[in-house]
Amino acid sequence: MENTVEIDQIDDKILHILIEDARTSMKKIGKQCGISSVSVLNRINRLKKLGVITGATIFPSLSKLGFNIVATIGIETDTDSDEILEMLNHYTTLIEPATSVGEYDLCALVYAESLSSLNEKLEAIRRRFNIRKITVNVWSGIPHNNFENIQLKAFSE
Amino acid sequence: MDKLDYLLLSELLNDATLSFVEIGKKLGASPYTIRRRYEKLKNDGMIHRCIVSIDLAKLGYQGKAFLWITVGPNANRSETITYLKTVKNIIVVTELIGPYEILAIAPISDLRSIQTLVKEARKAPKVWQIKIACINNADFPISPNFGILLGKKAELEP
Repeated sequence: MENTVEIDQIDDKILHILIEDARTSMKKIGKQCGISSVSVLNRINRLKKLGVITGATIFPSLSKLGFNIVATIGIETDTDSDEILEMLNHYTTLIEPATSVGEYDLCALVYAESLSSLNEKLEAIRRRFNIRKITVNVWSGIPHNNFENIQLKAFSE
Repeated sequence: MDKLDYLLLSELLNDATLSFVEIGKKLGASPYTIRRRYEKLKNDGMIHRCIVSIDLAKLGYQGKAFLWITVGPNANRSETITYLKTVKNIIVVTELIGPYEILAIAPISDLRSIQTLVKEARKAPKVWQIKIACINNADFPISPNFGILLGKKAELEP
């Protein structure tokens, strides 16, 4: 594939450490990888320059922020899904809206304060766009985030 | 939580590697204040973790697959979930209330990787049916809309 960035084992290890905690110091990473902190910094800067690392973020406690409900919604529509996507992107309570192949035409994550506010948000989308059906799956229990499980190189075998 | 807390969270959502000095400059507060606020948010359990954002497309991935899973009658879902967490590349597993019972999310590179993923997920105990939806968004761990949302919330605070 075009534009694929080659990463070696040490890059892989650095990325995994940063997945675990993005605020780990260069010194500590260097120690774990057996290289100097200067070369850690050089490697991270290279990955940033090539667009592999796009930044860093935090995972806040959603319930403490008042978002008690997380739901994945699937949208089925007859109109052009790219057009709808462009408009959905302006809804900030929709996280990661994307066109989808398979079960739905579009998928998105919704954060809501309560069931009634979830309903309001869905109604707004329903009324605004030409949508045939919205399927809602509310996340129950504590989601298992297993980000360490990722294999960074898509084709390693 | 006051306005400064929301703004601090919003800044960290956009870039979690910012130093307290840099954040302080942006928000017009002293680095000392920012550090104190940060520690408090962390101790209160408001910040779960800091994680690097990666564009998986640069590493050969094309997007993410959502596996919508239905389990058999009387099945213990936690068994299925425990297994799914060990399947390579599955990064999020959650229980659902809705037409499906479990959702698993994994990055995918090509048709074969979808095939392997589904084959491995099928091996999980009590799996009845798996439906797939593939999205072409390869952002890891998540797209940044949430930072904007919190920024807006901050504006509403006194």
